[in-house]
Amino acid sequence: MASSEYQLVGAAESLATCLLEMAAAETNPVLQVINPELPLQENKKYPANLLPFNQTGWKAYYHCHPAHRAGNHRFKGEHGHFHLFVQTHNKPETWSHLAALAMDPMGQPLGWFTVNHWVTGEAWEPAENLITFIKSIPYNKQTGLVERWLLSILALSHDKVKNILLERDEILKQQQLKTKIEDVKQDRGIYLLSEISVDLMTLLNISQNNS
Amino acid sequence: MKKTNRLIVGSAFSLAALAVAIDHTQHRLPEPVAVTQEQTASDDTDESPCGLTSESPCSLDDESSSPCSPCSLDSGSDDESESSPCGLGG
Repeated sequence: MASSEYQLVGAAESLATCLLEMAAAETNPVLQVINPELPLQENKKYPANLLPFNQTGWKAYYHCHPAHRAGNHRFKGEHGHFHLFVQTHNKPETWSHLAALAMDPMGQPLGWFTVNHWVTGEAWEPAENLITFIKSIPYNKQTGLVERWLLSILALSHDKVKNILLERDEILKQQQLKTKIEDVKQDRGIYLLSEISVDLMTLLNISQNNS
Repeated sequence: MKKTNRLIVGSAFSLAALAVAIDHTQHRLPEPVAVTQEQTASDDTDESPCGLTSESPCSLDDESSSPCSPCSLDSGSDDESESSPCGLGG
């Protein structure tokens, strides 16, 4: 079995376990990171100290944007999204935005998307470099439920994320024909670069059909 | 064999059981509320404005062309300088 198939099978089992754990606790990934006792604030990161991913070189947080702001991308019916970052260099410690996962108002994933550089402002990495990090996702090295859930979904949808990362760079490349690339990456009028929807049951079916 | 009766490979979970589990994770999330300037200032007092663990003050609601990144890992500063985007190093 190829390593990518191992990743799919393992990630499917990991995701299944996460879903059963959440179902038993009557919770979902968003409820796990926010404090339901306090008002949920727009633009605030949840959790405040970010998801640590067991120090495996990943970080993430959830947040919500105001719906009314022009140019403020939201999936149709989106409540908020998880921003996922990966540590691309050790010395000095450097983080890059990989993708974001939009969530619906019932705490279910809607889709992955990539954003322009000004949105996250971290070290920019070409798609080819970021794709190397989704070939071996440490979903099985996580102790936190939300981290396991997030990386399992990422592993199961790595082809989709790979495609939107390549699409992201292609869009920038096209824009580069008109103006300087750094100007495009800082253009506040460009928030979203690429997106693709996800469905949990479809992901689990894919993993089964590929085995 | 029906799809819903098939097992997720490497596990004892059927797709039907997982469909039920997914259904049980559906809980309505609270509506997000806008943060006032006062609240933001209050929240920031305990945190380094540019630390990894702090909240970004760079709201998308800010109509100015702030150089800060609203979705960065760290927070931004209130510096309006175009040359100082909010990086990890602050």
